[in-house]
Amino acid sequence: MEGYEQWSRLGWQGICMDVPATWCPGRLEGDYANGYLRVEDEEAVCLEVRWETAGRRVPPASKLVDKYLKQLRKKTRRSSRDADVVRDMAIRRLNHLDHEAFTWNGEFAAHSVLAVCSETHRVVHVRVFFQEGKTRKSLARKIFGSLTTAPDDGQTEWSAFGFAFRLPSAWRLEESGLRTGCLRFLFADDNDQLEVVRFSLAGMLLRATPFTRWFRETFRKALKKYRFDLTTTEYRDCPAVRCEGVMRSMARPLGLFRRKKRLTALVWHDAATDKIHVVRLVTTTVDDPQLEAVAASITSD
Amino acid sequence: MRPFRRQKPLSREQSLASVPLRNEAIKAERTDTGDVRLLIPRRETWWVRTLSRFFYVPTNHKITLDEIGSFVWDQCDGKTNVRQIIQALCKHYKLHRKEAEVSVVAYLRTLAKKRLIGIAVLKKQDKS
Repeated sequence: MEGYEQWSRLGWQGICMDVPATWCPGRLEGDYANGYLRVEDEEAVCLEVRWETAGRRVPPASKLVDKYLKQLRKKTRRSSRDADVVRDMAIRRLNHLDHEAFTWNGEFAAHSVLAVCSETHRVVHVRVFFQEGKTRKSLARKIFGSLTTAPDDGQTEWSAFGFAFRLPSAWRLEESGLRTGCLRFLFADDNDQLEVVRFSLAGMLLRATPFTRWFRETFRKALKKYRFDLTTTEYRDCPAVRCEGVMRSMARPLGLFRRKKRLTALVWHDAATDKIHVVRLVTTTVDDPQLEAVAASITSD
Repeated sequence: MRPFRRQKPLSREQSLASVPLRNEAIKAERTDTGDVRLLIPRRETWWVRTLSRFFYVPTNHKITLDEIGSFVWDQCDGKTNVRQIIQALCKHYKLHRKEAEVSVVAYLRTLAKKRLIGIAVLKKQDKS
């Protein structure tokens, strides 16, 4: 299909779809309720996703499309060119969602789908841009057909820049850092915290510093409040470090009124991909299995 | 008299197709660890000459690039464009394309600001 042989999964704030492997996120804004995501290839913007949380009563997708097209026509009224709009296209694989697909060919050209998710009460609008005369209909249909807007079996998939993992949908993204060499995601669920990090250029990071010492120094701030032990081990046939600790506290009446926060972390160095992966969990639950589940779900190019 | 015209900013495609060239006035040598050390000749302004009569002013200013910086510097041979440098970095260091692109573009911009490299932009071919 148009030379796109390799595909990758893109997942952000509970919205997932397959995109060509040469496309990657360029801009990420907002949160679970409302947000914007832009995907680019080497040359131009290829795809945009907007989502917003609807009120209690969500109008059907067709009415939302009417409203959107009306607004768009107002904005482009001054343009000398009338837009061609083709509507009433359905995507078979999206039959579980109230949706409508349409194509707008005016000042810009895009294949769009507007989907209403009754489970998450969100309205998701996906646009695949194309140049005039070079329609990407089959590409757009494949992307739209792979769209999911709700958790799968209670798990939300996060996937960007070749780094993917799954975690329970109750976790909300608090902070993200998408810098060269370090992709960082910090999630929160009530008072619990889950951090998932991927470091690139692992060979360079560990060249002069042993793995355990590197972990201590890199996470010095996060570990400061805890009394912890580090044990070297193996994980997925890679050298790994496990960290287990308890929050330091002043004299306290034996934890009667408040449970102590526990820290567990798993760090492993995958030499094949030259990456270091870190999963760090802070929770009051003893022996919480979430850390192992999230670590097991991680895949990285 | 022609009015002063601002240069149009480069498109992304033009930026990626542009070719970085090393400043020939700058000499490069290798350190023991294999990194590139740049020797930048001092500027011969009147106040530097005056100062050098009373104080020791080195004839060269040295900048040592790190491993990745040295790799990118070696790629700036006047034949390799920015896109190819990004691809080479991805392959060598197993980076994601976006990671490599952001860091290479920022790094080349810094080198260009310091006048260590120049950037040759290909002109658009005339349609005629």
